[in-house]
Amino acid sequence: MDMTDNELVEKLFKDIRQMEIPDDGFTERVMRQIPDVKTQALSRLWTMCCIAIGVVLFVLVRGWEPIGYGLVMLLNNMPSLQSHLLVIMAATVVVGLITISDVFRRERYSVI
Amino acid sequence: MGRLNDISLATQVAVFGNKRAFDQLVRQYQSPVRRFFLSQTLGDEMLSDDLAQDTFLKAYTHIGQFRGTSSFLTWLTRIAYNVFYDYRRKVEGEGLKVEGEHYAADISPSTLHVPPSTLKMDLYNALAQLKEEERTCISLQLVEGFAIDEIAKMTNMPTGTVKSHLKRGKEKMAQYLRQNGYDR
Repeated sequence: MDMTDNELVEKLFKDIRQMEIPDDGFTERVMRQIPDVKTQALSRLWTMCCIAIGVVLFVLVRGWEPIGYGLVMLLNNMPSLQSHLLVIMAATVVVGLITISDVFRRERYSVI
Repeated sequence: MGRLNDISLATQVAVFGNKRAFDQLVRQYQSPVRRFFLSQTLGDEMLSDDLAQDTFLKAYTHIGQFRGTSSFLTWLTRIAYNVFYDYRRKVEGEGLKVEGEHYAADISPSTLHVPPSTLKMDLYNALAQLKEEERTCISLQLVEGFAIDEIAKMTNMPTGTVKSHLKRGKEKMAQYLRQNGYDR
């Protein structure tokens, strides 16, 4: 690209670069939507309580046993499963992994 | 000094939940954030304001993650970019048109009261010739004045890709401007 292209585009952007958009009540509208600190703290506390209750219940009912049993059964029966079931299982795993990686990616890049 | 002040305000928000400090930050940065969205939406003021509002709400809830290694505006613009990216994905998921070429045809001068002049209308028409990524890179560089490496960080694109989007975008815009007699 030669300089003329640059100059031409620069000329168009020169004014807009200096354009200051008047607030016109924008800040007030944002501030009205800001979540209350108390609500946020309560929400965080509630999430923590639910997680804690979940962990305690998992330990009390020995939640890892049925999961482990199910996985062992699945692996043992895998050779006898029909091919379309294996394809569905593989697709589910792939979709799950893509979703998880997407969530992590969005979390990672949501802020600097 | 400005940067230190921003860090101080952000700390007050993160630690003490000081809403007044956040009010100051919104007031200070509403213009560049809304201007960024205006160029992305080709002048749709209502949509730009909605997206800018989302950006500031996200900034408020994630303000603890602002480390001060970049300027507050860079951090905010990155959130704005992600808000726009999410919006695009949502709109595309709903099967609605989002590409600039279609936007431009739909926008009538009466809906564009910021900025009102013919020159700015022409700017949006010229931006409408670009692909989404080219428009983002062009507006971040030429409107907001960010450096190429900052744009690369914000958009998570390699530096080379940003450079080629800028080059192609400028070529397309220049071609459009020539066709419309701007080189005279």
